[in-house]
Amino acid sequence: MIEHDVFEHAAKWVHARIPQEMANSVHIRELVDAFSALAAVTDAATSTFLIPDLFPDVALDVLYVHNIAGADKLTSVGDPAKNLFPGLSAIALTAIGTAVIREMETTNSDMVRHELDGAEIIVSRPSVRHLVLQATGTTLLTTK
Amino acid sequence: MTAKTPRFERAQDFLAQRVVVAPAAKRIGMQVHARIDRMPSSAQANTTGLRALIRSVAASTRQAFRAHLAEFSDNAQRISVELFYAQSNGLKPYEQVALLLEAKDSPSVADVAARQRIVPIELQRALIANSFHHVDAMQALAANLSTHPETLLPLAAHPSWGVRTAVAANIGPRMKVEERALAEEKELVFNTLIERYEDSFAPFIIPACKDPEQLQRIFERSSLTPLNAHLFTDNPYASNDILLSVVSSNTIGLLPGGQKVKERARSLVDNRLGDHGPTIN
Repeated sequence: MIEHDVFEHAAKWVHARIPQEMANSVHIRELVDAFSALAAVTDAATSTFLIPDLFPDVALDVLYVHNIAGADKLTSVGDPAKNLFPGLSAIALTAIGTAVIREMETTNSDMVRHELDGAEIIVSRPSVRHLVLQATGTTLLTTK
Repeated sequence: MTAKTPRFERAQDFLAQRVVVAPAAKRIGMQVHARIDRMPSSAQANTTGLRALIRSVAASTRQAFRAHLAEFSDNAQRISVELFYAQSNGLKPYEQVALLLEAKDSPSVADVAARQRIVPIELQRALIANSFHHVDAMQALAANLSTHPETLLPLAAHPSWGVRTAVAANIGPRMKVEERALAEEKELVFNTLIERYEDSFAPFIIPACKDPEQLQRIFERSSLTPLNAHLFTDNPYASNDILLSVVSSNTIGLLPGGQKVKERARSLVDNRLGDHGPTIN
């Protein structure tokens, strides 16, 4: 498990980068929960996927690149009703996306990459999706 | 769970770095929509829903991939695509071998199988046994860093010059890497290449050779170009005889860059012999 301190740190990082009006309406606790929930979601991943709309009102892609060299991950199924995961509020996700965009502007970058047990999570602007997919060797399939 | 600090960077730089340093394995993925509910009371449901969605991605990907394969009327094309994404789909080595055997007459299938980032040893053996005549595939297999020395050995005697040179390019640099379990088999491939030495092996074999006698044999069979001579003078195991031959070669001196190589060989011999031998002019 990721240490809880990391979520606290990430939440404060976000809070410091969002406009004051938004900061007033999203509490640090909500951001900590959102990061904790996102970690629980990532923990369930067993293959590569792209989400283009994880952050409401913020144009960012989220690409999860599964570690195909590693062993198949075992994820607990359990009873969904009994699994108490932290909440993932839309406002917290918008705040996280806004902070990421702000940091991209500050650092003149267009993506942020996070490695996790051989897997990768890449949050990027939609305009560079083709570069990110090419770099990670990913071909996206869609269902018809 | 091991996590590293997130890195902000430019996608263009990320791509350039991946292409040069560590090309990614080919993989397939699915695009899915999060459909986050904006109602404040839906936070818990958002987590549960997103988690369920992510759990279902693997099955959806398999289904979409099967649908994609069903579109191919050409069997060889279909198998090529299956092998192209074998690693991403977690195909077992015996499944990959079965696919190869299903279309063993197809050069493109053999080529795709041999170009995988990691070719399972079972597939390597099947490629040698069934696709030895597919030159492009054998060249790709010979160049693949995942290819086992056991597989490289028959390729070192392949009728194609390109395949043999690719074996040299593969094993030469690997001789400098310690792979204890493979040491004997690597040595066998290396010695085979020396026995069958060709000029095109020079840049890969000469720098890796640590045996003065083998170097002497290679030298006798090498055309004495400035490039080859440079490789010999750079190898500390090269004998004085080799260096003296370079120094006294009239041909090298006439070729571009040859004079410099001769001077370097002369200074090396002078250093080695010091006060105890003759001064070379």
